[in-house]
Amino acid sequence: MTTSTTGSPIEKFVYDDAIVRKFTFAMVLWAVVGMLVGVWIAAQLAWPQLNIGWFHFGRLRPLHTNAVIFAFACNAVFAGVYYSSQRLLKARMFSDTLSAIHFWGWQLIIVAAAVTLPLGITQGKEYAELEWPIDILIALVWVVFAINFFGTIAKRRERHLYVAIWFYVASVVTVAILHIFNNLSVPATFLRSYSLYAGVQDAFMQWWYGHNAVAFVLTTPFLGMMYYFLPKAANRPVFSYRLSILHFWSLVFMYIWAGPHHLHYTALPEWASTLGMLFSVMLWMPSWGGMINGLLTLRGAWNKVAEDPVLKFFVVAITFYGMSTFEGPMLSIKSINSLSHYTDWTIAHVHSGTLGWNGFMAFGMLYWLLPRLFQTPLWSRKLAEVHFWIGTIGILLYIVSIYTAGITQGLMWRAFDSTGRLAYPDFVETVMRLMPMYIVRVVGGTLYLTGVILACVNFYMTWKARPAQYADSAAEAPALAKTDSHDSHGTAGQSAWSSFVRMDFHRAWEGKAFKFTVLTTIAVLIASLFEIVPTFLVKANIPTIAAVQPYTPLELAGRDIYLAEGCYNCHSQMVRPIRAETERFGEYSKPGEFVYDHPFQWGSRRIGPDLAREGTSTPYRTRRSDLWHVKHMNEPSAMTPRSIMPPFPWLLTEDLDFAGIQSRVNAMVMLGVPYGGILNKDMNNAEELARAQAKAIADSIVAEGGQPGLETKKIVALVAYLQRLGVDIGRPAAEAAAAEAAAKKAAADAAAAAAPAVAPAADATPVAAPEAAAAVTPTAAEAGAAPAPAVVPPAQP
Amino acid sequence: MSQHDENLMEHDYDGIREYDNPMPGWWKFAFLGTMAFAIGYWVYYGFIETQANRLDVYAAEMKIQDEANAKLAALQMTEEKLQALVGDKDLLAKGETKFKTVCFACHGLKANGMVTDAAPGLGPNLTDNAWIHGGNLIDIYTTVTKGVEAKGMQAWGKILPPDELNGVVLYVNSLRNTNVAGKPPQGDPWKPLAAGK
Repeated sequence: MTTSTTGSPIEKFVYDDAIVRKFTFAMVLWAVVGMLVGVWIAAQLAWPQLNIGWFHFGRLRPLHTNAVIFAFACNAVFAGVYYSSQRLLKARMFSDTLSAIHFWGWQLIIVAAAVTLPLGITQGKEYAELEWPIDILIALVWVVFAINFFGTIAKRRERHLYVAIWFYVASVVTVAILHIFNNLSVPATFLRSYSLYAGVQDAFMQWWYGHNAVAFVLTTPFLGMMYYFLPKAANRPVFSYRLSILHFWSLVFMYIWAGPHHLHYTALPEWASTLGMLFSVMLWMPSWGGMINGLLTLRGAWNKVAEDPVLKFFVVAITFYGMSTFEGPMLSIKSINSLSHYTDWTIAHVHSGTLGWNGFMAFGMLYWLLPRLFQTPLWSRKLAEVHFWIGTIGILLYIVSIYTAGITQGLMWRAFDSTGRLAYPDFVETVMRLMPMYIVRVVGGTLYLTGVILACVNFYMTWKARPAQYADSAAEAPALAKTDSHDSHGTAGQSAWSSFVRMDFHRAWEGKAFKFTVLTTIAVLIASLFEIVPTFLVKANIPTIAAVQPYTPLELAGRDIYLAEGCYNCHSQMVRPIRAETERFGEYSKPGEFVYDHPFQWGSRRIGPDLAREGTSTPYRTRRSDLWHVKHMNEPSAMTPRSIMPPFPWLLTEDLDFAGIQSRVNAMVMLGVPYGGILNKDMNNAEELARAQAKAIADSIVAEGGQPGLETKKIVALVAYLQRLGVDIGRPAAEAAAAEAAAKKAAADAAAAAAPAVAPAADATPVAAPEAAAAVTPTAAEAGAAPAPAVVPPAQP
Repeated sequence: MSQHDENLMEHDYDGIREYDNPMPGWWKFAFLGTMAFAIGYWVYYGFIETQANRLDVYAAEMKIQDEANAKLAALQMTEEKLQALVGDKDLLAKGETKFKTVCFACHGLKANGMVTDAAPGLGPNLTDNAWIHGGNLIDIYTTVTKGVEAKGMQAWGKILPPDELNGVVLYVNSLRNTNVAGKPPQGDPWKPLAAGK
């Protein structure tokens, strides 16, 4: 046995490249699927007739986002992590079995997502749509990955962890925390659960999660990959070790705080919004630290960039990283966000990050890996070059058109004429203006997808030329010495201060993987706790509103349909306190209005108008009749000419699952929603109440001249929900009390007569009055003790 | 290149080396600058200028809106003003265009209350002489501008600019008694206003 200079025996081992080959294959496969769905839904916006049945924008958009983030990007990350970690740690993966469970488990999750999302099985939270059984599977597979990854670190033969590994550690730990805490929910049925949090708090958790999914799925692992594959491909040393330390820790610590910038001007407490903005601004340089370290690593190697498609992909990826991490802080500034929020600007920002940074990092890595994994030269370097150019042009067409669309629509929404009237009062008008840009986006997306297909061809042809038997990726390294002899990389006899400035202490941390992981976890947790705990503890954050009552059982069922059809992908339910907004959509939303919203449905993009006050009349829109909603859901363009909303005709023909409503109400009760005043004493008459309200709505539809027989159909539940939106706050206290009495009577009647014959008879139509704000009591009256639970739906005219 | 090589650190990870280059000065200063901005912003808006939160800004914006609304409310439309517009062909044409791109969704292209020959729309037949909310020009104007919430009729007063609004009123007025077959008459028969009323 040979020994190294340190006296440790030299050990021989073999890297597991088979698992990397699997992950790279999955990555390209899901890239094609996810981006194909992306191009398809982009086309649905340009040509709404492409919404065919269930395959409409609302159901497919989550499929696109989940497929590209969790299927394409995550498989790319796994490929990168499995390839580079083994080499950076000088060890084969901890367990081949765990590797296999990780790979197949993750693909199973993706298939489950691809099946459930088009079926409308969803939690209704963006990027966290997957229902609880799949969430549990994700958590388990992630833990398998974590054990495998940390196990490899434990048996490493390289004392010090390289910067790429730091980023992987942060990602593995944080994604687990984010996923688990955002997805806590109470199951109502096997495939339906309600978020543990409601309203403001749910929004807060969701964007803590959503923003940091961007951070710890799409940023930190990709930075880790950059730190491995870029210096390898360029064959140049990394520009600055010290910079990597500082930007790693500042990035990991500060990213966590930035989430609330997704909720500026909403009902989120302003202090949280300010905190989110300031940390986002401070995040600018930590992000750019990665860009600088990437680009400056190429010093002396720029001549190679001209020849090597791998480096071309990396350079453009890092450039897009730099651009979008400048844009992110900029968009987090409140006044800019007031324009950009709810518009396509956000979509453009996201795609410059994902198509540019994530996509091009992944494909650069792929072209570097292919010859090494398949042990044969890349089939066509030329084709990779074509992929690069076609992809770059695709990105540019995509983002330029969608930036234009976003800013155009944002400006149109807020424009007033000289008489104080909205210059574009008709929402559809602001949508029609975007059509040319939407078509350009389809072209850009198609080009990008074409590039990906070229990569598939290159993948396949390279794979075909593989040797009959792969040679082992054998390696050898001395076993880890017992003691850490970290290299002091400076002159001897330096002062303590210069040692500190040189971050020698960090060199010691790098040798202690457990300590390093704990420190990273602490950084992430401290930031999370500082941010999250006050929102949950300070009651003044959410002043209760006595008139706000839980949804009736039928409305709850309607809300589930709203979620299942993915309405939140195009409609917000959050009117911001901005003049153009309250003029267009009505009284701004108050935090207390959402206390029973499990989950919140504030949305993030207004492809259609805001629905927060849909059940009321607002300055520019008269309350719709029930029949209007029926006709509109059946064929939107019949009621709103030029509307690009997909039709939902099956809601008029499919039966509502009345029997399943009780279990949904029970789940809500478990979450603390006060149904005591709505249900009977045994809390078991949800179905009866739902049938009674359904009958009342169906009758009003007939009275308005609509078709009979809708009382058993899904549409009445959805209409009940839509007509309830934004109503409560305008209900004066006296009316709320009357409603309570009526509700009790209705409940008694319903119990007495098994026949569903109760037509709640409040005849005043609640309208959001400006005095609504007066109904807000800033005291922290316990929601559970709220005085007047009302079952009465908004009165039918 | 050579000045960097002195900075090259000893360690080597799978062939990757690292320089110990100092962080770029502008990067450090920009980082400190954003931190200073954050602290300054927090102190200024948290403790000094405390009347600048989003609701204060909103209240100021709404003052402008209230003034504009008051001005608009002062512009009272009357039967006489509308009568004076009857015969304006441009306005009528504008009204017809608007009706056939917007109002038709509920009243039908033929304004007979039918969206197709077989399917009734949400709105009544406008080609007969029966009026649910009054048949005088000013009544039509009020119905169009304020809508009828109980029936789900949209209020168009804020959505349509004044000339299109007047045009639609003139167009609906012109349909009176054209008696296109469609929905049966609803409401009361109209009689012209008595002179001087």
